[in-house]
Parts: sequence; C-alpha cells; structure tokens
Amino acid sequence: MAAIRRVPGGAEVELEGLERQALLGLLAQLDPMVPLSRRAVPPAYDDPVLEAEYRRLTGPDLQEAHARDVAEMRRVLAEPGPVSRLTAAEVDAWLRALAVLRVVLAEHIGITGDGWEEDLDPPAHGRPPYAALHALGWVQDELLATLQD
Amino acid sequence: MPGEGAVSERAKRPAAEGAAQRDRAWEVVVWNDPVTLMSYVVWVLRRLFGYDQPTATRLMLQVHHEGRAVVAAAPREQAEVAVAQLHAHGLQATLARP
Repeated sequence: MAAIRRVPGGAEVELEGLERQALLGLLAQLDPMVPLSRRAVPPAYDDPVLEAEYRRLTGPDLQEAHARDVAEMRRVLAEPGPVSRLTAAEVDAWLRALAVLRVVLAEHIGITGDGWEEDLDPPAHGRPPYAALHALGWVQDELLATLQD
Repeated sequence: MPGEGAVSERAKRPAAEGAAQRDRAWEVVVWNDPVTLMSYVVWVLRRLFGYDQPTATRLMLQVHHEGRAVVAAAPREQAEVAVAQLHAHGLQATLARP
C-alpha cells in the first residue's frame, strides 16, 4: 500500500511494483507533452515583443528544468522498491515535476476553470485521465505533508 | 529574492531602455490554476519569496478567489528571475507594469 513519510533529511516513498509501474507509465506518456504545453511553458509578458525576447532568453532553461525534474522522478520510480529514499532536493524536484505534469494533463483533458471537480459526475472522477490527475495530486499532497512545520 | 541566474543573460540584451525605466518596479503576478493544489502554492510562495505561512496563505487565497495576486514587486531583472522560478515550479505567472 502506498505511503509517503517524512524521514530525517527528506522523505521515504513506499510504492509497490504495480503502483510504480502505473506512475511510470503515466510519466512516460506526459513527459513528451511538457514542451508543447502552454500551461507548462506559459507567457511572462502580454507584449509580444517583450514575450518573444523573454522566451528566447529563458525558454531553453525552463524546458531543461522541467525535463530534469521529471527525469528525477522517473529515475526513483524505476528503482526496485518498495521503499525509496528522497533527499530534500529530490522532494523539491518531485513537487515541481508533479505540479508541471498535473497542469499538462489538465490542459490535455480540457480543464480550464475552477469548479471542474463539482461539475464532473462523481463516477467520471474514476475515468483514467481524471484518476491520473488525482493520483499525481495524492503523491504531491503527501509529499507536502512531510514538509509541514 | 533568491536566484540571480537570469541576470547575466539579461545583460546580453541591447540597452534600449533608459535607466529610469529599468529601475522602475515591475509586479510579479501569480494567476489561478484550477488543478494546482493550494498547499503547493503556499509552499512555493514561502520558498521563493520567504513569506511566512499566514502571508503566503493570504496571497494564495487571493489568487484562488480573485484569479490573480501580486506576490512581489521588483526591478525588471529581478522580477523576470522570479517569474522564471515560478514557471519552473509549474505556476502561471506574468510581469506587469504597476
């Protein structure tokens, strides 16, 4: 059964083989969508000239940062398990990766505004894309809980 | 505000702006996102800007209820660094002239 715990200097992620495979499969699917996502690579300026210059200077770094964070998460999930230790820096990388992957998935599903959780029929929350969104949110929420004062 | 990575990049730009315009504070705006966890937004605001829990929570709630919040104001270079860091954390953020 999945569990995430605070340990000195980081966190401990306990995931069984099937859970690891499910998350790894999801990450493998979402990873190539990140560079194409407007929500993962959003504009900084309204002004098109300022935005183009900003994008030219920062775009490659942002893409690299996203790729590094997701790769970090995939690397740990690929460990045999069931328990993986994350350093504090790895917890940060996971949190960022999860945030990015969730906005990419939300964009793909077509979630554009607040209230989507209430608007969706309760059974639809179990449909694969929504279930995936909730699963990634669960991991992120549990990791955040390990950082509480 | 932490992080100076973009400063050297910024220096490569043509010096088209006057000093007065460069030094004027720009607002760093965070926008609401329907799937990003509220607890995550609080964590990012604390992490990047050094806010205490009540301040970060107030700003997060402003984002949630009003759709946006100004989370910092700084000269353009610093504001750009902050926006780049927010983007790296998967948040929707823009720069705006006050």
